[in-house]
Amino acid sequence: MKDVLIKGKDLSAFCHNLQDSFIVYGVREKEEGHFIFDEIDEFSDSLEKYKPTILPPKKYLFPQQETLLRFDTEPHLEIKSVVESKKQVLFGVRPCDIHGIGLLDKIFTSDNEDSNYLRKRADTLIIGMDCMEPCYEHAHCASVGCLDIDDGYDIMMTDIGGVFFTTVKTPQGEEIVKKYVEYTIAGEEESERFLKLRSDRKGRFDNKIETEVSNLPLFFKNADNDPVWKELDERCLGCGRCNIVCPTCYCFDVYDCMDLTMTSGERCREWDACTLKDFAAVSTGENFRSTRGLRLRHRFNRKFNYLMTKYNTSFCVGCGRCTRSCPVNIDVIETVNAVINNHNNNHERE
Amino acid sequence: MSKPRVAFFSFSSCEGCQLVVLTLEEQLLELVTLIDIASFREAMSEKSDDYDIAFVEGSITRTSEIERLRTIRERAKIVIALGACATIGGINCLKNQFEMEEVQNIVYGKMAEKFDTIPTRPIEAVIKVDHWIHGCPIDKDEFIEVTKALLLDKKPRIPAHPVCVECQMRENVCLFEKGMVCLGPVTRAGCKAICPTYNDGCVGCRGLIEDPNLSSHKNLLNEHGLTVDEAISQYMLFGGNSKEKYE
Repeated sequence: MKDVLIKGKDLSAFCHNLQDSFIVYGVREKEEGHFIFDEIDEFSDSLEKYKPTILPPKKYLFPQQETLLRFDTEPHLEIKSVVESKKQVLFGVRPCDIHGIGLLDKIFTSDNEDSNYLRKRADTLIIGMDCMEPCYEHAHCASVGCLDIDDGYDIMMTDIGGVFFTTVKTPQGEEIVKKYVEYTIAGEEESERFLKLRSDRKGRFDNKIETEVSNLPLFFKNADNDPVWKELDERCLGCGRCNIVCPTCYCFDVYDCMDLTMTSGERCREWDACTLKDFAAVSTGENFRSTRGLRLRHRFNRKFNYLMTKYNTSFCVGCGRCTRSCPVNIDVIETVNAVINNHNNNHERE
Repeated sequence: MSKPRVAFFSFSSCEGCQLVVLTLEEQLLELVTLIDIASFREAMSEKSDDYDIAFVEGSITRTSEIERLRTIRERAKIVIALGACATIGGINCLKNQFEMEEVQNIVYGKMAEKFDTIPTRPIEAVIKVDHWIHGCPIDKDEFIEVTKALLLDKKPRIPAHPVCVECQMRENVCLFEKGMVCLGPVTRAGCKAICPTYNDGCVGCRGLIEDPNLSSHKNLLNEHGLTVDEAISQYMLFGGNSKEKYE
């Protein structure tokens, strides 16, 4: 389908009409300056005021708690998988979070297919909302290559001044545009305006990381003894908030929950967090990462080394949520740059 | 297999945690198909000294309570501390800031010498405790979890991480950003962050996590224009038995 134009005033009707066939989740302001994704009746995204939501929209694909299977032990053992999923639209997902979902797609399909995630993902349409300005001081999407995006959404909308220039990526995207919103085909003039706005925005998104992002695994491979981990060990509260708010953290704990009948029950999973003390504790009492500094080092390695090496792409999408939510201001960019600089200084001395 | 016999006991407390057990309603009916209740004065008149599992609510604040608690320990195979008074001493520890004589006089006036009183302590200061159900009051689901785990002979799944995890999962705005004191970063979770969810700073009723970063928490307070004294005064509401832990 060709690029189309959707008027700003028609977005509310779009949301409303989508509710005929989908549960629609969009951005709303929970408290002043704090946004969340929530079930919405009408378009409530504040657009230019937007800051990344407290939790990323990943919660609709991989919820905080989820039942995986139900079992009965009587009269004989019976196990049934449980996949709870319904048709849903995520309305107004920013590029960083679309990248985040794209990374979760890789995680939940490689090695083992996660049927709960995949069913939810298949039932989900993503309406992207492009960013023309950095949304806040902690955003570093452009630094990790996650501002520009050309995949992972069904449609992508860009505000070109009261009108949304809309790229339709998938057949499902085409279907919802045709069925649920008034649109016109974009003309040459609008296409040019869109391209100019896209190219103008480049200068507004600084590169905050002091090396090419693809070099990061190398820096982190040599950073096990970097003094930054000692410094962070003293500061980190071990509260887990950086993990909980991260669009690409996917670790979970699995546990069984018996019903009070004591013959049947559920196997469930719940988000886990590698910065928590219990994460790497084993039943004999040892802990592979016993200090907060070691746990944080592990978290940074997950984002900029281990997964990056395996998948050849940054597992930090630059939303800045971890920096924003850290009670003691541990800053992802400052930390990455400290690792780079400490490495370079050491190298010079040698 | 015979059903385990369960007894509930009250020491110095408001008995609110036992009330939480009674509010389990439908689950309570299912529960009594799995256990026999030997004693539960808030719920029934019958009493028995024959029990396997003792849920003990309340802290120890008088010498006579020490003997009574030891007897319960001797009779029960498993003892569970029920609620903040029993697990960490709780609100009753407020009196530990005063001289005992002064407390006696304030509370009992002319009758003071008829009522002995000792510094408040959690039950584990007196007897061995097998499990802890934290909170003021306890969380229903956690009570059920511990009870089921006992029946299955499994380790209960009780969080060791701080309140921040649950608070962030609920997408609450951090109370520090609103200039409020919160002990969430150093307090054991399991309460589903109910106080911060309703805009009230965590006062630490579930006790400190195993390995709290207190110096960083203090810096955090300073940075938000709050004082350590404010945090200590909040902490002392429940943590008076372990003031030195926060200091």
